[in-house]
Amino acid sequence: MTIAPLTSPPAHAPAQTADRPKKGTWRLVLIAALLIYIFIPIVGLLRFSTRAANGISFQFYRDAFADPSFYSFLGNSLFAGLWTIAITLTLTTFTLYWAYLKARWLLPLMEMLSLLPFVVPAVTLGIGLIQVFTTPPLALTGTPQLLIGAYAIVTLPFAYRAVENSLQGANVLTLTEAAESLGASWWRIFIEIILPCVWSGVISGGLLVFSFVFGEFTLALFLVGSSYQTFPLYIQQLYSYQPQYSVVMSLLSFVATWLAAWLLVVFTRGKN
Amino acid sequence: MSYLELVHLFKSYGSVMAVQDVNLQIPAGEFISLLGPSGCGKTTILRMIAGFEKTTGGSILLEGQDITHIPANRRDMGMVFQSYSLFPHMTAGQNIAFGLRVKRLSHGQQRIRVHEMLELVGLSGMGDRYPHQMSGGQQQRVALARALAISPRLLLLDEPLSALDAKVRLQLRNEIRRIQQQLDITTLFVTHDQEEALSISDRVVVMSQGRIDQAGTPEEIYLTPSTAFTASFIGAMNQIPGVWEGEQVRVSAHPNTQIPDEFLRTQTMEISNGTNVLVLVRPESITVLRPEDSIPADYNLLSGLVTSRIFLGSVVRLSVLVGEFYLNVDVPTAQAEQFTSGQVVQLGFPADQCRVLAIAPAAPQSALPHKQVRSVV
Ligand SMILES: Nc1ncnc2c1ncn2[C@@H]1O[C@H](COP(=O)(O)OP(=O)(O)OP(=O)(O)O)[C@@H](O)[C@H]1O
Ligand SMILES: [Mg+2]
Repeated sequence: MTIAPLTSPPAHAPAQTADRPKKGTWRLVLIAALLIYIFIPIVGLLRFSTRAANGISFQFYRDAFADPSFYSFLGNSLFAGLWTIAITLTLTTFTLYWAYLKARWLLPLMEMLSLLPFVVPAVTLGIGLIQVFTTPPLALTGTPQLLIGAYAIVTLPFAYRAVENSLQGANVLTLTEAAESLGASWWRIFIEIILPCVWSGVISGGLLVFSFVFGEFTLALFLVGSSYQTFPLYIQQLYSYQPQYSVVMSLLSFVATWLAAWLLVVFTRGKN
Repeated sequence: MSYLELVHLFKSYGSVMAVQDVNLQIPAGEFISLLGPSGCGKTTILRMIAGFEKTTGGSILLEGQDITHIPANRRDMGMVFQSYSLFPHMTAGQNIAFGLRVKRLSHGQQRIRVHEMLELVGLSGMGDRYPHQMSGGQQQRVALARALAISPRLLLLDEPLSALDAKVRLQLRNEIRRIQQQLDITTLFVTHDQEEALSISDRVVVMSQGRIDQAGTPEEIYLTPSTAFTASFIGAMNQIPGVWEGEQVRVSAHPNTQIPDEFLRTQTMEISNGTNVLVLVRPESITVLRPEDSIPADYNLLSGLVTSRIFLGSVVRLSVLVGEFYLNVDVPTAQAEQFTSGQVVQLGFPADQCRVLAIAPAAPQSALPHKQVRSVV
């Protein structure tokens, strides 16, 4: 939703000629309102984080980035994000490819299953996972493995949609058979033929997954809490004793997410 | 010895019998077409030969070797598909080189072969284009080049021309034939277009409902169809039902009219008296006689009523009601003007142009729909 101004710039407005001036104006007003709605909090954050006795200062930024724990938290989030991407996308891409080849009838069911994570609230999932994973054979609470596992499930809908879209466009079955008749092995076909065809879907799925993980709070709080702190947990923690730092961090998180969204737009547009 | 042999081949999808007891022997270097209506199992046979589809029964022998259970990627077959199947992220040249790369040819060898193949299919200099930068016809040429590059043991073509427009289609089909003869490669070509099959094949296999109906040279198929299905499927054919009575066929008159039964003289056949038969005559074999024409001795004569006319270019096809059935009659366009609907005309056709097919009284597998009007356009 927040991407709207990027994908459809107000370029429409000048195209509207005299016969419908009102509609053009309204559109401009709406877009302006949306931008204000999005940017006012950011401007507030910016002001708050740069306020100093003698005007503007970037001291908080310098200090925040100088804090070594910042890098360890950022590293944790990156680690979780990359692993989640790897697991979710590998799972989805392989499974979907297989289903497209051998079991198309499974697709509607898979689609439904892939949406399940949307239906289960994060709190429920978190508490549920804790219940299962605290007793000895499966004592994983507090480990990044459990968090990444949970993320891999929760981000399934993003990855599924993105990969499925691009598989749909490619004529997977015929391409596979053509490559097969040319002697190619299954792996070769997957790596050299199918993956390049669905690459844009994999990338955009990856970016969606990443921005989700980068901002996820609830599951991290429940599953790992203080033992494996991710970036959002860090922000929350900072907030109680160094609010300005936490503001700097949320701005950073915001920028990262927007960057991901922007890349997403670039990728999906480039393919069409 | 035959190069490719299909032995009692069966394929079923659940309760659907897609292919039933297909036996076929194909000598090396032959261009053979599988021809038949939609859903008759042509693609299924091709896909079993390629290894994309498991057989339900029977076996496939290539050069005497049983390949029925060999995976598709070890069968060495070149396949061209109906839908565009080029790898979209690779140029034409890279597409052609793919199979060579799999075979681990050196870069130099690959380059030479790609060049050769592009030349063969008439696309020299287009090696750097991506599929989306080429027309449908060009894409199918590249697909053909890609399939041929690996010097496959068989070339399999599944309606490769059906997505193309008429002119490109004609051109490309002749080129496929030229290339096939140049390389002397055994080729199976699937099509539902009879003209396509008849014009470029050494042999045509007519299929119906999962079975082979008739196999033979294009001339045999066209001139001497051995089943009612082939007769009606290939070209336009009049099928007149009657009863074999020694040297001639009795054609029953319409019960509601006073017109007496007609007798048709036909090619001589070994059929027992009283058998139900179909008399087959091509529309182009029938002449509309003028009063002043002298009538050859072996002519069958019938009179009928012109009910409609269709302009087909070089000929006009008249539909003539004779007794209880309609006959299609082709007259040269230049002479067609004189015939109008409602006119009574005298038709003649020589006995040796009339083939006779015996039809069993209660044929369970009759491909012919049980309807009264037996003239099939
Ligand atoms: N995967 C499948 N599952 C179930 N039935 C199938 C499958 N593939 C083919 N069939 C059935 O098998 C029969 C033969 O199909 P096939 O594709 O071989 O026909 P075809 O002669 O190639 O027809 P067309 O000219 O339309 O391509 C059809 O009745 C079809 O419905
Ligand atoms: Mg087919």
